[in-house]
Amino acid sequence: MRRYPSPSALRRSDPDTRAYLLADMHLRNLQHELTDAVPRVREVLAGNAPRSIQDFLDQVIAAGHAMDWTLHFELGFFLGLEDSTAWAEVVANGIRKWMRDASAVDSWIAVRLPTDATRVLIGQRTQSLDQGPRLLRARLDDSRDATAPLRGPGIPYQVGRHFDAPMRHEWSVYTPWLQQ
Amino acid sequence: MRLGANITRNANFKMAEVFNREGHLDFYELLLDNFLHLDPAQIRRRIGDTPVSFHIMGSRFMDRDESRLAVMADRIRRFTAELEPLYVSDHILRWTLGGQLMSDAIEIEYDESNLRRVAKWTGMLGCQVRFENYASCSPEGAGQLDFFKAMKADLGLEPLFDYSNAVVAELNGATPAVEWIESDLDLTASHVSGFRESEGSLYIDSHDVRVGEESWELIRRADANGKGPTTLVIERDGVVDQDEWESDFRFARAAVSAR
Repeated sequence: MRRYPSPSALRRSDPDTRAYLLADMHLRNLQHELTDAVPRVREVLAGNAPRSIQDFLDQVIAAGHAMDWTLHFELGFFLGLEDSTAWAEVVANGIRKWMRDASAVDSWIAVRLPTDATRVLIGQRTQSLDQGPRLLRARLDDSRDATAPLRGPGIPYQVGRHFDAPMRHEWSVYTPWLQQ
Repeated sequence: MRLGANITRNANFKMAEVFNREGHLDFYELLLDNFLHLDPAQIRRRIGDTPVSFHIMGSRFMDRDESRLAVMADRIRRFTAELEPLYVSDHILRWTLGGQLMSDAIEIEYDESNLRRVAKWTGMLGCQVRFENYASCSPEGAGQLDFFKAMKADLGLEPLFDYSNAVVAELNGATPAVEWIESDLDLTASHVSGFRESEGSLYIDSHDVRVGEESWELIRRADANGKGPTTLVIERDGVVDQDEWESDFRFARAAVSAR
């Protein structure tokens, strides 16, 4: 495999090759990762046929997205998700992928839902040999700057090393890649 | 021979701890990826005197920029100083294509530039890293053994030899496994795990079933040639069945002569 495989490129290639098999497995893994744990998003996909996961992957691969943990956020923007349940699902998926990144020296990540600035999902990486990672829901105090509205579409997040330290007021923002 | 269990997460640590108490294993192999953000002193307190080795899967040293690798290397050196592992091991894999992250690792091209990349990462870690042979998916992996020989000749690095990966690579059309045994590489630090046929005659290193007879046979053959393991980690992290895992530990003791 020399080029990043995409669904449309796969359709044009010879299915009787090892390269095809490996590319197909990779794309199916990606699709499972994007859709297995998000029942509400699957409902949206089922009722939104012209915009399929294959369309999403074709576009996001062609656009040069890093295909990292933020890919899940990108799917939310691509599908135009509006309800908090669906957004909570894709945000949780992104957090799970972030927690699997070996290079992350940070121990937690907090992500605000784009549908409600006070709602936050927090992922805490493995806490010890005895306690694994966990995903928590929280609400921000809406009197603080932390919940200031965004100027455009985006998902605020922050990471930290010490779980019991207070969150910073400043947030990094993931902005949709496909619209840039 | 020392037997070890791979610790990838808290669930299989609890199981390995039982094996340790019952005398089936001699050390833990920590998958550092999942613990590197923790305090190594906390880990030492938890495991007591039990020796450890380090395994790294997702350093992505073939792909990452140097500044991010430097942060990671600093953490690994801190763990090494605190826990004094039997060895530090990593994988020579590529995780990205065109800067985009794959869902699983892919085999590298075995060329000079990648050898330099290995040298660079080893220098950053400041220790003799053992790199694991890959379970090649196709005949394109045929250059792997020569690459490992070049690592030994040029960089003084010996492998972390995964017996079942060598069997899987052979089944997928790469190098015959026995050629590793017949090479002058030091194969004493080793791994073994279960593998299975996936689809389209592709064999995968799945870690979710018992160790196969082909792998035990290769271990016996290496042992008969005086090149058998001095450390052997039995990897089990998919469909972790305690009875099957324990059974593989008993089998390993029987397969390798007492050394």
